[in-house]
Amino acid sequence: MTVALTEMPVPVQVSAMMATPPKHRRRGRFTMWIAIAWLAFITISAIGANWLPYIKHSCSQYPNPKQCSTHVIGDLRKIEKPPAWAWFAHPEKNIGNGPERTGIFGTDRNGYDLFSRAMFGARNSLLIGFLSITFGLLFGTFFGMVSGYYRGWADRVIEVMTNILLAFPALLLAIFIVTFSDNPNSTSSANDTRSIGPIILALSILAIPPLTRLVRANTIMYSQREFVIAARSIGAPNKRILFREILPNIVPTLLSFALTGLALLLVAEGALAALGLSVEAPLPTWGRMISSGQERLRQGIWWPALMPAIVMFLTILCINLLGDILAERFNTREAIA
Amino acid sequence: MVHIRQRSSRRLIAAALVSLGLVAVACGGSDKNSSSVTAGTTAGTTAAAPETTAAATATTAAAPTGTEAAAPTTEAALKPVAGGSIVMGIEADTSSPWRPSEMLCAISCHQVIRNIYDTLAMPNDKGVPTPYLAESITPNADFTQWTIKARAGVTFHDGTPFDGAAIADNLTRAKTGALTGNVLRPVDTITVDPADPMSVILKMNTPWAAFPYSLMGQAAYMASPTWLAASDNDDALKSQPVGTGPFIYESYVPNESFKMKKNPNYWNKPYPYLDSLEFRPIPDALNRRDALKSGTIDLLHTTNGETIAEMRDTKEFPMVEINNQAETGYTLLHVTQDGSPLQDARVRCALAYASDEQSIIDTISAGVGQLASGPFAPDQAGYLADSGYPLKQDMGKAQDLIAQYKAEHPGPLKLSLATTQDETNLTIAQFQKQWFEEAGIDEVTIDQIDQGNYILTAVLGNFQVFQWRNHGGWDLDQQYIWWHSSSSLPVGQLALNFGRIKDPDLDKLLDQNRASNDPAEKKTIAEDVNKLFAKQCYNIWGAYTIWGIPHKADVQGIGDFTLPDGTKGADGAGIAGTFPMMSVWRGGQ
Amino acid sequence: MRYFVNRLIQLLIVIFAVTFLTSIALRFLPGGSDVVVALKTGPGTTPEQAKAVKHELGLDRSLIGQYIQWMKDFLTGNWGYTFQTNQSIKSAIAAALPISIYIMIYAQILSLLFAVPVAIWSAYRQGGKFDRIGTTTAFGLLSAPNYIVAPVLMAAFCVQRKWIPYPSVYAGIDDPVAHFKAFVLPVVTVAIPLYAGYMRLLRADMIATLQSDFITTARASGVGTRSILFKHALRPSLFSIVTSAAVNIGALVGGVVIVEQFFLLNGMGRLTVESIFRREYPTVQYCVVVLALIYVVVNFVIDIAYAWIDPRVRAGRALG
Repeated sequence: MTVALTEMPVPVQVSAMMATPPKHRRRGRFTMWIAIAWLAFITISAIGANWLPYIKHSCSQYPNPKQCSTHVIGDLRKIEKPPAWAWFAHPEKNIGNGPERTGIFGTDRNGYDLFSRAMFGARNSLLIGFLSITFGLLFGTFFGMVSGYYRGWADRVIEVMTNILLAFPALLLAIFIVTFSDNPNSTSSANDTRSIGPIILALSILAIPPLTRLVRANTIMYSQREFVIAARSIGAPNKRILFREILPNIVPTLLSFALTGLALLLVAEGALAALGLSVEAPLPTWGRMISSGQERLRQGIWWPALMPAIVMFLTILCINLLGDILAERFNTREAIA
Repeated sequence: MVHIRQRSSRRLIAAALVSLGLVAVACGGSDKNSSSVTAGTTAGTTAAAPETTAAATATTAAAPTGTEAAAPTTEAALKPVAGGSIVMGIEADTSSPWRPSEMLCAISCHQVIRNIYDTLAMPNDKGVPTPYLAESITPNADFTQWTIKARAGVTFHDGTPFDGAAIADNLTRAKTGALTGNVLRPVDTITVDPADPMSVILKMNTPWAAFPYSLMGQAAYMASPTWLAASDNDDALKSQPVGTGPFIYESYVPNESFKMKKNPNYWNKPYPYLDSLEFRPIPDALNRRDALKSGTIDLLHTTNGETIAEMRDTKEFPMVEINNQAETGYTLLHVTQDGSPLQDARVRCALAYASDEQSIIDTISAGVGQLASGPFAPDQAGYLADSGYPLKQDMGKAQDLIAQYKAEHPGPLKLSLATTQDETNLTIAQFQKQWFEEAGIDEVTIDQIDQGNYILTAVLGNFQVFQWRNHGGWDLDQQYIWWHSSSSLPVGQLALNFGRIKDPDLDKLLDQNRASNDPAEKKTIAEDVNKLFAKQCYNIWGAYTIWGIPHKADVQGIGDFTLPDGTKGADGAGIAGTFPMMSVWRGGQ
Repeated sequence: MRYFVNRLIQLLIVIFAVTFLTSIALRFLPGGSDVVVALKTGPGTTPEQAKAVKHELGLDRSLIGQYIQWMKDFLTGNWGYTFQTNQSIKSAIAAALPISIYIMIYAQILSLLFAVPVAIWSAYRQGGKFDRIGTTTAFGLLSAPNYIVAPVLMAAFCVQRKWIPYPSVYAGIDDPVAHFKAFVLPVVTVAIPLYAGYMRLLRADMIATLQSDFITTARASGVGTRSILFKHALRPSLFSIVTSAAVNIGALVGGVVIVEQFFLLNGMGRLTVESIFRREYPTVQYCVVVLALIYVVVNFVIDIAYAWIDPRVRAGRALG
């Protein structure tokens, strides 16, 4: 389902994701810790990509190439090498270019170490995903709470606006926003490289409607609970109620939704990259690496596409797992549909 | 300043964007040569179709009919049979409308449309423009006046007779086309000969000895005047071309197929052989190859090195290679942009020294393609194995030159490389970035431009470094519009001299060549141009384009046709990488 | 009845908003409407040209005026031609729509065909081996983006074994074999995450239902397993999956861009994206409006159908 920002509207996707039955399932704590461990590894690598020892720096990551510690070494020919452990891969005859197989993930056509690129890509992808979901959370929570607590015309207006946004096919809306943030006719010297802003904007907009709906439903539910009624009866101001009483109760649901949403947005970013709408080259993001590796895949060179795909897949899987576990813990199914 | 007519310019750019964009899409499939380009290339070429597209002859032409890679000897014994149909996979969608003066035709578009339109002339296998649809093309003594006589007994597909008025109509329209107009700039007046309704007299405002070369391409496509008049006000009709060619338009579904059927009354008997043709645009090169392998299409054209290398090894699909008078893949530099470091020849040549094009050929194109030493391929006039251009990477020299420049111009050196969304081009651009940075450029950014905008960027001059493919042809004159300063306009205006080269020495040579009819003199002039480019490093040369045409084993006759006067035609029949379908037949298995 | 009117009003508001926003979107492009004009006329536009184009596109009117003109064009079928290739927008969309609809229908059928039985059996044998394998698989399938699945499928079936031609060659339903070949891989790619989602939804609901009292009662009364599963437990559990599938009817038509792009099927998604890339604004407008309309109208029909079937929904909906 994470796939299908394109296939299903997000609220349905998410409710399916969080479709855990009420009976308590003994999910192995083992699984949870593995998931956390993997995510921790990815996050640490992403943050520390610049100085972690196991990450080689491709020079293009740096504005000043003198900072990079490696350079394209050796003959350009046959620079694309399979991972060191891939004994079954048959790279073509090497013209005195060092070992035939190299690296954890191998190298791509430009000679960049794929593992390092994947880690830098983690940084870029996670950054984009994280920022997008955060903005989505901020706005979605705001609208949702306003709409769910105050009801009345505010509620109707927000609901209509949400429906309008949802009416536009999600991915197409994102593509539209990202493409049209480029001004094709500008006569500046071709230096309008694509920046991260429009992508985050587009993805945030995608995240807001379902979050609004979710928060609204939860807000309504909690608004009717005794403690809120009690707070109101003693004259507590609305804002205080919202922040002190309702919001803390919503947070767990939000968290698990946010995790799932993060996974979805990561995939969506990949989808945009698959259409060529990612950040400026040669900055890596997972989506971009996968889509650029696809071409090589068809020539039988599988590692430029599959290695980042595996990393992305595992990350999404772990995020989903965590989200699932959280959902299970807080058992919020009724609040969604 | 070129006179641009309102409507045609609009159409032109519109068509440009699309066809070029489409070509980009096509080329998007890494269908390119070492550092050559995607989009614009063909589009760019076609833009001045007649000039640049001359191109293809049989490669080695070992055997007389030996354009086939396989079994040349048995070829001679086979007699063409009529009937059958063919599906060809092409690089990009052709883009309507198909009115010759308005088309911005990529190579794929020419491959399709030249079966519906005939050109006035075609090259024979020696590269000499030979009258084809025209009966004769004769100059006066000083080449200021040319007379074109229409071939007798030819009618358009809609029954309109082909005569002097038809030629005049077409050429007049071509002159108003924004791009074909550029090609025909020296033409002053076009009038039907009062003494002979089948002839047209063209007066030139300057002696133009090389004029017939322009009659082999887009400016000389002959469309039915009746259809032209009718479609002037009917947009839908513009997409249903009517010509004199061996095939008649049948249907067109955008991005899917272009179908045409045999013209039973074609004037150039015994052609055509096939009953019907279908062209399918398959932009991605690997997809196209797979389509051939799975039998969905019968033949394809490609410049993708890996595919060509693979097909060379495959017995199942014989392959014709068209690579003479070929285009050159290269990296264009914008050389007169205000404030750009590329105004200095040292910086430009530093980039040339820093580039290792041979490695790109080996790595990206699987070794397919010959390293280019200049804009002219081995059998084009002006080719020099050693033009003075640095063929081998010399990083030390590059760093020296940059250091010299920096000594005089303190401050960070920045460059931006423009490329398409295509992965292969991006890979090449990344290599270039590494080289340039190593040479001493402080900051190199890569700007991926989506295909619809790629050509527009070039045409407007909104770039510093740009990947491209161009300059096929026979005669230096066909490059005139790309290099002469009269084609250079300020950034933000449409100009064919993309790099905005304004070199008085170059201008002089081009003008001299235009007026000259002496082969030896022309050869020297062309070689001088070659050396000038090498010295100034206006462009970073890549490799000469090879078009591979792998096909099913029973497809015969590719590039093997005779002209009406009995001489053998050149493979590409005047337009780079294309070949006429009229001589193709199936059978012999 | 109130519910119906309520929903209808909502529908109309949304339609109005969508069409209004789409029709005036031209004005708000970066670079201003000059961008659009330049695309149509080319660089170096003269003021008269600019004026003519602006008038043609309605950019010289007020927002409302432009909207009215656009709606008029839309409703009368006068959708115009693309800037660059001179194709009739209407016929392009008319050709693309069936393809997307085919994909949607086939993918839904395929995914439901597998999801329902697997979900039922998993719910029945919850915790068992089948269930564990099934859930894990579904989870994994949900995490695999379609731009990874598609090339893998393509490599397996088009390159390794030449069973399916690539790229897909579209054939109408009148040529069943070719039709199948054209659609099978894209449909499978789309159906995989659909299946996983549906399966999880139904399974969860089924498990919840199977724990409820009336099932326990039925079992205690000796009703057979098959009857319990299919007659008693299945129907009440269908809510989520049916809602999801129904919503997807609208969402899938415009949503399968990546798959269409990859397999080169000229469906609505691909048409819209290609038009966006080529900056064919009018085409994009019409595509988006058509897709949005389909989506909201389908949802509207679903809402009304539910309200009609289940009166509780009408009340429950008030709470959202």
